Amino acid sequence: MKTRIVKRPQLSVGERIYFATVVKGLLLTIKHFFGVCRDLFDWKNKKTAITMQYPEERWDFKDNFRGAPALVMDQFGREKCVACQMCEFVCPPKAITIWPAEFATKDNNVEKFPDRFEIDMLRCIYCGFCEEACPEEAIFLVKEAELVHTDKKDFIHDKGKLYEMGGIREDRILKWQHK
Amino acid sequence: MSGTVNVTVDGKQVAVPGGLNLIEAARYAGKSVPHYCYHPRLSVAGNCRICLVEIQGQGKLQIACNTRVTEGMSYFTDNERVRKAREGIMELLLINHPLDCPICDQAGECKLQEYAVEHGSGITRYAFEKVRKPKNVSWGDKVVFDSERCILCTRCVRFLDEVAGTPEVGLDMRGEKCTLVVKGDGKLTSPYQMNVIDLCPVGALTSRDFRFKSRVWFMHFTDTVCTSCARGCNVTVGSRGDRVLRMVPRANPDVNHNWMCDHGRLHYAFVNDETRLTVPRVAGKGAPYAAAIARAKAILEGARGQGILAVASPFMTNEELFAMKELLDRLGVEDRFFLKPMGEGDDLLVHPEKCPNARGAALLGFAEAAAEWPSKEYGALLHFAPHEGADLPEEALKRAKRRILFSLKEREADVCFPLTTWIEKDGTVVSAGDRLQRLTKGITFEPTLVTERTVLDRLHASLDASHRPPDTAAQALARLAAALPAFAGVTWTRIGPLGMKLEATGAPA
Amino acid sequence: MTYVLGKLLHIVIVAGAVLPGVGAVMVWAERRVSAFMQDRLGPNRVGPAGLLQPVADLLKFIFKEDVIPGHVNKTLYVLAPVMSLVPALVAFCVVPYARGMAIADVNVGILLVFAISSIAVYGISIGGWASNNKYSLLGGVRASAQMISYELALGLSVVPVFLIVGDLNMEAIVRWQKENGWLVFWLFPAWVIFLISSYAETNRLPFDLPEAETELVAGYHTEYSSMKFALFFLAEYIHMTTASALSVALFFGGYELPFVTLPQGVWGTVLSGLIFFAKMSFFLFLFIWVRWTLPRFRYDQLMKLGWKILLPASLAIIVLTAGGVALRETLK
Repeated sequence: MKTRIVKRPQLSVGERIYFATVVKGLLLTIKHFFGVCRDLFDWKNKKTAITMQYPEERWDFKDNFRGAPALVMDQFGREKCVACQMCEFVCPPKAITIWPAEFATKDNNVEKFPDRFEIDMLRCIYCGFCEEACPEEAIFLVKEAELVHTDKKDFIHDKGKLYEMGGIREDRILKWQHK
Repeated sequence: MSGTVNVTVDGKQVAVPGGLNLIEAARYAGKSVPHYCYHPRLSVAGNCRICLVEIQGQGKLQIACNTRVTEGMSYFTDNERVRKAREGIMELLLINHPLDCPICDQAGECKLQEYAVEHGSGITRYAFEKVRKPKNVSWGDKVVFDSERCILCTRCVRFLDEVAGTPEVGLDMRGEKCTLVVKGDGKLTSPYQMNVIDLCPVGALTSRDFRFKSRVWFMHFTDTVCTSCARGCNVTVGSRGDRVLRMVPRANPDVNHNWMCDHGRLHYAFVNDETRLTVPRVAGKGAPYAAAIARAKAILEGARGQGILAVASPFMTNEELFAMKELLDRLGVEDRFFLKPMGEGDDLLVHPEKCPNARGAALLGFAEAAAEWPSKEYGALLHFAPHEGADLPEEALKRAKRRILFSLKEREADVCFPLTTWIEKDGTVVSAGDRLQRLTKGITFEPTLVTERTVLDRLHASLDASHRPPDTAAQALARLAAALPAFAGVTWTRIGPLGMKLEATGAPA
Repeated sequence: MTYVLGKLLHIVIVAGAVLPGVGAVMVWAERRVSAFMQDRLGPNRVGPAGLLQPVADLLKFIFKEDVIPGHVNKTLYVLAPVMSLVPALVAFCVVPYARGMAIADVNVGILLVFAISSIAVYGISIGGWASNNKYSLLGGVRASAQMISYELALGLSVVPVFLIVGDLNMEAIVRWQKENGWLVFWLFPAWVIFLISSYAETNRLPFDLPEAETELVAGYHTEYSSMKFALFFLAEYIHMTTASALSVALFFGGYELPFVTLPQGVWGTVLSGLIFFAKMSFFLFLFIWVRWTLPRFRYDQLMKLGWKILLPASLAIIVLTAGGVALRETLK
């Protein structure tokens, strides 16, 4: 390893008295103080990068944000998940559990669906592998980061909760339209 | 066609038995030739064309399954020409494939998937609408057919024709409309029909029973033996979460080849029965094993003067029967019986004895129960209730003052121990033809369950402090082999995964 | 009797309401000002603009479990916060916070302040020692060393005031300034020394070595929680208030304004009080401002500043002022 000797900076007399630097520092802080004071009266055009006022102001997540995983339906309100269990397989913390079932009727090509689909959000590590593994584009990590519950059981997201969070996403392929 | 012939596979010289086809001969050189329609136990159809190899001196590629080795033959299984041909075949097979893998039960053990990765090009050049064929067609209550996935290899046709002896399936239509059809009302009738599911190299034929229960990669597989009849077909049990999900045959040329009957395959529901007994019951109340064993000890000791009736079950392993024999010897019990459930057999695999180890029970000195039970009154009954089939007649049960039962379900008894099923323990059974085969533990139904051998040994140890019970099934078998001449020289490893013949019993082969 | 009752009432109002009130507002101001200086908003949820935050804090302190660790010297441990708070309250008694409104208008006013506030160090040192904890002990030791060092400079820095005014009575000093202008114009260097020393005396940044979170966990009050901790906390703010009040009274004309004559009577008194509090508020703000601007001194720097710079400087100022006063008297 190369050694580099850093010389102690030589302070000038003015600096050694500290008086000017102290005043400089005081001016800096008071500048910020009045900056925020000013912004308080004109919040919309605020010029200072004030800390986000969390519950009122919220972060605008980017599209690639990895929040809680959720299931989506296609534009016809049909569940896209076919219970192939690839996400369950790939899930590193084994947070996903699926109970597959078969449709009772044969009105289209759909044969399999998840009877129960549970994600244990206390295990989930938000890695997004499920979204990556899904062959049907049925599971997505949505912009949902505020999971607060008072009961441990509520952290197990069931199918209803997952579809509620996921909503509808346009499907271009519509594999199951064919008879 | 005897003797050996010398062939050269991919430049490697090997001597192989004469009369082999090129797929089998390539195995001697450590090469595998891909194949869909070829099956060693079925006639050659030669219609999938994936096994093309280049034989030196022949201009065109030949199918390996229908070509036999000749002296001095040299062929290539993996050169540029062969690879290109395979890639072409794969592309052709996948043109109309529906890509159902996410919902296909075959996924994970599908030859199409495997060969597509190994030999496929990875892309399709076919830009047109795929051919649509019937999907999710029911072939009776056991088999589901999907025509779009079918590659028309005709393995199922040949199996039902040649092995099961019920030619029910055939090809209908031609070209892109070609599909499999079942004779008559479209339902299969063969008692061996589910073997076509295993035979099907793709997901065209899937099991109704196993349908969507689990992806194969989640399952835990255990090589064991079917206990539905005395045949002892070698099977692989697939389980997940300590519940049995399916059974498929495991190749054993001396017992079941590659097949098994549908009855045996579907006969596992009692294992997963959630109402099973999981803790011992003493006088109808749940009790820890220690308390139940203490109560059983008191009953047996109290009944010594009045006689004890011991009834074993032919579902018990040899090691359990031996542990029981040691206990009975200690107690001086003379009346030792077992009940043998009988049924119908057939020429192929199904054996009339509907239990795995009746022969073993007989070898260990238990008498097959006669129709007439001794009219004697007993002080106590030690009884292993069979999983199924006729149980002890009620009057025989009543003849004993106190009853110690081993049962799958709760029964009225002074002490009722839970039984464990064949997939929950290691052990050996004597199958038809005096063939000793191994059972392997695959699941733990409930962590609280203690196997019968351990219960018997603990009961024995409580009566006789000098009893040093064996720990593992292999140790128990060694003890048994040392004690009984019929089992002389038998060890756990000698039995091996495919079982061995018990020579010392003198039974016909 | 009326005199005694009146004084008692006065004491109760000042020590029981005004000073703790100022302390409470200061807690709020400290958090809000520091937040603004760091581009945050600070506590703004409880009450309008977060003004009820101190009440919430107080309630929390009161309802928190009162933990007395098993390894402490119980008597002294409990006594220490009180010993820290009481001198802070008592020292304020001679400060004329409005015209004629000092609780004790004694002739030796400023000396009394120094005498009393010296006792405050006992609260801290004893708290540190009684906690039976190495961090607390170090904090206590630091506090006593620091206080002794800076008390010297603090005391010497106000001597020129007495030299010029010729009186120790606070009211007299204020009156002198009304007539002759604020003393800070005459004695600016002395005021600077007074200010620096008062920061050190109140253990505020940049001289909060007794607490020094990065080195000593929380210094002398590491083992304190709930209301006992709150007392230490309050004592610090009341010390600040006293120091600010002294600064106003000694150097910045007290409750008077230059060039303006306040009316006589009650309104004049109220007005003078408001003026005093306005001036004091500036110094309190300065305390906060400095705290959130300057980093903490190293211990050797602290000692060097106190003994090698402030002490000689204040002595020099005394000599110069004495010379000036002598010249003035000669010229008269």
